[in-house]
Amino acid sequence: MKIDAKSVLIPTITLFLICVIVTGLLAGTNAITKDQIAAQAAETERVSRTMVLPSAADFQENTLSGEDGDIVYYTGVDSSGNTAGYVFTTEAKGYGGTVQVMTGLDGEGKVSGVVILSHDETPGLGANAEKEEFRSQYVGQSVSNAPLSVVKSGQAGEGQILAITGATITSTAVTDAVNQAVELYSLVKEG
Amino acid sequence: MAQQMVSIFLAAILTENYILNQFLGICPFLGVSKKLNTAFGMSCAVTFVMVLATAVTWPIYTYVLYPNNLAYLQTIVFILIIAALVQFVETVLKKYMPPLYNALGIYLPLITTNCAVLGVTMLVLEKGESDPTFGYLQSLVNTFGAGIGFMVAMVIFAGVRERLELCDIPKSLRGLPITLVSASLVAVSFLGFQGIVDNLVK
Amino acid sequence: MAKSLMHEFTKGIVKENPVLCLVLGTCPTLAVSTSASNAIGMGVAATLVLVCSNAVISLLRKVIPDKVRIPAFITIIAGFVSIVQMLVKAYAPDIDKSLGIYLPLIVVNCIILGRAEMFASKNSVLPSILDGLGMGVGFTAALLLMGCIRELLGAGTLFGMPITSGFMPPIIIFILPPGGFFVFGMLIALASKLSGQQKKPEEIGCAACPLAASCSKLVGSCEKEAKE
Repeated sequence: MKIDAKSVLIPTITLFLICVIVTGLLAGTNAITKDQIAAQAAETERVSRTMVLPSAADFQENTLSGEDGDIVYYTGVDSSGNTAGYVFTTEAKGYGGTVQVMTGLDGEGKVSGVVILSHDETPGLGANAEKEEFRSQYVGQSVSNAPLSVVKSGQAGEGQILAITGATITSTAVTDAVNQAVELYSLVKEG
Repeated sequence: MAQQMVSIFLAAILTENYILNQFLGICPFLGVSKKLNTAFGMSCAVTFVMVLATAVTWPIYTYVLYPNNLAYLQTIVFILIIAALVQFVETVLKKYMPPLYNALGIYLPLITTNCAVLGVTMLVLEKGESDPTFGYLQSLVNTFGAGIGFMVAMVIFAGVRERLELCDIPKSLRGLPITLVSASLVAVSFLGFQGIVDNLVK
Repeated sequence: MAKSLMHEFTKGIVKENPVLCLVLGTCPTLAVSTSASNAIGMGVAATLVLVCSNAVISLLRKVIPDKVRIPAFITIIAGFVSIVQMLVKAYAPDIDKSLGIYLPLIVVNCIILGRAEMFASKNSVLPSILDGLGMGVGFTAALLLMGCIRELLGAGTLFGMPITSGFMPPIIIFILPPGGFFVFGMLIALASKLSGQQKKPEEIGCAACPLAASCSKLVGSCEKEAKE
């Protein structure tokens, strides 16, 4: 088979040139937006940390060596330089997938805040775990009452969390994640 | 390990069904699900290309793009790989496996723009990011499961549609609208699988 | 002249609405229409890509050899999608989070490749831009309509603001996948009823498919089956 230079080379070169130009444009956009994207990601994390541990002014990254490798956690420092508490990110299996939870614990061993970082729960049911009404139940729970348990109805007492209607599995998953954070907190406290 | 594989595989078919839960690959779902045999042929071709695409894109992303800070080229590199792969598979099948080509060949060109294929290659990488144990093998199992899930949805739906042919349907609902409404009912039945996998494989 | 340009713009919004009449781009339509704000985010991102790719492809229509036009179009579209993706990540991270995987998947949205193949590769720049804009607005409008219906019925809110709380509990199934199929089916039925077309959208028209040329074999087999 004779290769016709014109009918093979020209399309190839054109396609190649288009690829090169597009890649160049992408590299340019990446260079412009890279810092902004990194800053946004850092900012989102910082906002979440401030939400779960409002008393801290600054956070330091620390690691804790556990059985499954190192666990990264943050130590919150208040404006006068004292340790205000700790922030842990833990996860548990929910209904639709993994639920990732950030928990803040203050120096007195009380939960200072809980934020759901990511989840795949059913919209309108499990996804309601993101709402303030549910998350605020964790605030003020003491480590001494751990592990926290989930009740399906009635009044939630000390150390208990009232499940979201129709989403017990999600509620349990969030509670599991918070309990893990409490365990990590005890480990950190012990040194 | 084996347990994790089974759980990934089942989850990909039932709870994360690409068509009915994640809305990926709707075009072929509505377009070629009229007859059982075309639905089956199309799903086979999709599964085949999906697994092949993940087998190629996963190492490229993990060992070439990501370490060199080129992750932003992901979309463009993946779509070109898939397009090239589809062409390649078509040529190879035509030359060396004519029977298979006759069975699957006509569906292949449609697959390049099937979002389920591009979707699966990206989703398995996303899963790997949040879960370090989710490696190459897990990604392939997940992809295969996604393909089988695609097939299950297509075949079930083709069955429903063949029955629909004989029904007396209000005039404005005829054709696509009633197809979508029946798709909605099939999707309801798949909602029932939510949460089942973790309890099955415990 | 002005009138025909106007026509290029408006046809995509009503008469040839890509979602409700041509039934293209169904995946994102179903997936991200769970809320009105998601629908707008997706619509704007897709419109941006559509206008840019239409413009560039129209400019290059005489340069790109016919043989490699599909790969060339895909490369150009993927380039714009990646650019939009990075911009959204940098300046609107919330939208990025809620659109997730569907943002990069704009690449395989058949509306964009379809317009490139059917319109931009045959027309000059200005009509192509207007065509892209019109199609984009039509896509956004259809998405927004579905988003509003599903959010209102399924969550009782509109753009996140509570509307029906108090007198009607939300019908959650509308924001779940089955609700997407259902609302979409009903809207298409309504659109075909209103437009009074005798020709019902029996199934996804192969003519509208961007790869119709390359899948003529499939079309042939479709038709053969239909005759049987």
